[in-house]
Amino acid sequence: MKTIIIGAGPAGVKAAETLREEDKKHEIIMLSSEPYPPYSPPAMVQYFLTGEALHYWRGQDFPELNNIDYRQGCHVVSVSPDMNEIELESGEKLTYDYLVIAAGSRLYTPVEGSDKKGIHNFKSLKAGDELLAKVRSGEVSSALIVGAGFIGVEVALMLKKMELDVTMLVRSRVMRSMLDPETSTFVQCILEDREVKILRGDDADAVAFPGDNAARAVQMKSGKELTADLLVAATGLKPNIEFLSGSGIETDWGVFVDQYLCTNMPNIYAAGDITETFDRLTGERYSHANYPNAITQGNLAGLNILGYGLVYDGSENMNSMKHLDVPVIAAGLMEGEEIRLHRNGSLRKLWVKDNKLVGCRLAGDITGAGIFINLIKRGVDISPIRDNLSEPNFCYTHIHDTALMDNVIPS
Amino acid sequence: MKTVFVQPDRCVGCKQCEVACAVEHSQSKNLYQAVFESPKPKPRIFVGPGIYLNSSFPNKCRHCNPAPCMAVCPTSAIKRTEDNEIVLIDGDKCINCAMCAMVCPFDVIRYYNSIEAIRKRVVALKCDHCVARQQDGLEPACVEVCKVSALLFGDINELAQKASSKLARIVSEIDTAVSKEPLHLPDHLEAWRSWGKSASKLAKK
Repeated sequence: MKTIIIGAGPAGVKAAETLREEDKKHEIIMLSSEPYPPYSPPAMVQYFLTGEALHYWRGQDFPELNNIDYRQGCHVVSVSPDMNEIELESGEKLTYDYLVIAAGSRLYTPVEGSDKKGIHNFKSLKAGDELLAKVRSGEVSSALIVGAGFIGVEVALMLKKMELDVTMLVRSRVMRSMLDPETSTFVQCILEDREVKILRGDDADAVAFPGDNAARAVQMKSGKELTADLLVAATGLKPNIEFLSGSGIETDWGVFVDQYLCTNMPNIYAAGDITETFDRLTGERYSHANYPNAITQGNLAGLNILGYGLVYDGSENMNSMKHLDVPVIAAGLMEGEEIRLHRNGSLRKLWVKDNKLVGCRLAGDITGAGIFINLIKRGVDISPIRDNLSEPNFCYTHIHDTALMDNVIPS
Repeated sequence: MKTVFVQPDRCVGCKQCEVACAVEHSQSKNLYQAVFESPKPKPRIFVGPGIYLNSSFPNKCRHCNPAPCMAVCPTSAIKRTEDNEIVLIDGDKCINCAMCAMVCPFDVIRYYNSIEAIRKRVVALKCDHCVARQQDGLEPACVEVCKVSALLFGDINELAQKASSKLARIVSEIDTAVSKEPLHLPDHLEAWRSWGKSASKLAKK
């Protein structure tokens, strides 16, 4: 059996690892568009700040150790499912028995002129290397960041630690899709405490990158222009699905998969940021791009290729920002009845709907996050501890006392 | 496989296990010196209050298999020991991202400055089953110090067998209604429980 894995991010690596663990003879080819060994995106900031190569988290010799034919700097231009064949940029054609599409996502900037030179991003190690080369050259002293999502905040804090003058352009509010207004303000205060300048409103709504060849500034909705030595876009993510056009593989925003993470072609699976799966809580089609989802999907795709026929539970909407000393954990929805605790500079917000915990946002003190997220995942009836959820000392003992424990075991 | 077995009905919430754990994970391993250390040693076992005034539970890492924290660690800092018994965090690799805390269903991972990490930076800390003590043939510090046998250390099969034969005895005694005597907890624990129940009732009124 021969499997080709397109992409060497967490999803691709986990799929390869699972295949190798279960089947020593399986032939595995792994294609990476970047010129590096497989790396872990969440560890990039640490690498750039301290130089510790923790982002090569499975080791730089991962391909050799696992007997994987690893090809870096390799772009796939087309997939022909009827021939079981893919074509590379070099013209080379490779055949497969199974294909795993784990090509990930890239920066998505719905701003005019976003394809111009001089606009940096932090979505890949290559982009990060370019950004950091510029910072280390000593030519830059200020940075302008468009977008205040997860990656935007990450880049802002990283550049601030490198002693740049950092300004963020925020159209609505900081980390809008993940946080409620109050927690969002909490994060904004942390950023402002660290002397990151935050501009909001029409004066900060980027509509274009003016400039002839290279972008020289950012133009706002109000017509005002702002510039800095370093322009960084962190406006959103988009699955890398272009190479699949014409292949017959069903895509929309991302690659459609069924409950087994299989595409509409029986021997082609997809995992990671590129997939459009369903949300575990709402069942809605969605692409929650985070590390835990990528690992779970990569593992499941690997197992299902080997014929286990395991069903995917749905992707989880959760994230944490602690590595840059912003203790924030967000998971699930922000609707229903709100339970709020603001104490000692920490904020804990929980949302309850139909006696079930559906979401949590913790900032400052993140103790209890694991319990809340597990209650959310399991969808258990929380009425026995409903009144205790707002107590500052809520802890695992409450779960034990009410015998909710039986329902709160790891999946 | 040797493990720490929790008998929550026996825990009185004295928190001595927390102190013993912090001391064991200090540089000096001495209580009076440990309190002056920097970074201050922290416990990896947590005894918290429950819904009754006297309910408590010594909560610590279960060393799950498969371990969700290990699966989501983006730097592979969380590993299992070769004999597959203990899940350990390598402080030098931890980037303090809190992914593990997000997926731990027992909420037993905390973040503090640690002597086990380079530059004593903030990293994830959790129970290591006192690997160092076990190598010396000792039981984990929390078990050694527990005064009410709420924490037991031993082979998981033996402990489970003891617990199941105790349960079998109780069931058969209820069934045959010979005597309910052995069902009782020691008097002092029984008194503590009933005090808690009546005090909780009063508090609710």
